[in-house]
Amino acid sequence: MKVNGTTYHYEGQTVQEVLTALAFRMDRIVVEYNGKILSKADWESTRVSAADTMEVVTFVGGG
Amino acid sequence: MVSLQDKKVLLIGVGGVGSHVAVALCRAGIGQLEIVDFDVVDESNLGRQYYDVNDVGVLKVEAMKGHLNRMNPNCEVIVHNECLTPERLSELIDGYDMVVEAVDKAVTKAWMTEVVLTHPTEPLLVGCSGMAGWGDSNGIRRERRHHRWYLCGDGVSDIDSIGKITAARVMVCAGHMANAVIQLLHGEDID
Repeated sequence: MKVNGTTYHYEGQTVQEVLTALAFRMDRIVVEYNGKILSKADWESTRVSAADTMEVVTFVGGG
Repeated sequence: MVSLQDKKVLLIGVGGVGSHVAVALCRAGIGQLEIVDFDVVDESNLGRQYYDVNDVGVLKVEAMKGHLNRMNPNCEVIVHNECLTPERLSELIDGYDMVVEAVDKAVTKAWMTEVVLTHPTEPLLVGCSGMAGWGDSNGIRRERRHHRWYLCGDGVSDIDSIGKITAARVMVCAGHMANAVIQLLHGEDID
């Protein structure tokens, strides 16, 4: 699967597991999964497959 | 040219970025601005936010409404002095097809972005991330992160690590955001 343009060999893991493995800061990200925003509530129940594409935006503070 | 007098925008946060976005939209002739913030103007805000010494101690939404009313009386300003929850944000979004996220905490940006982009009425969102410090202005850009989401900033300059934030760079970011809103409200398809 692709995460932010890089290919990873994940298959069958949950989105939560992939995000944890890639060390994203869970409380400050938004996840776009196959073109749709995936709510945090669905990270545990969504399992990835090889053809998936995930874009993860990590926010920084200031405004 | 489409008039902005019949357009309305929900603006979350009228601090550093949000106060300047509000001013730009108001001066552009937008018909209605609904602004939300829970803060009071502090002396320490004057280095980058639109407010002045007369506003210190006043609720930001009230101080902002005063400034906006004086610069364009034809812009209706609706204010909410409250700290939003996801449920409350969801309620406010109903009736808006354009939302601006201009809050300061990264964690708040994350959940608000999720709430707006998963909302059933599918509004457009213009947000910000990365404008602290005094790095190059040209590093601040607008990027389309999703078909309904535009994010402005350099993506990396974090107030938590840099510790300083200037009016100049905040205004570059706010200018990008306000202009994106104006383009989108005119029906332009921008990247």
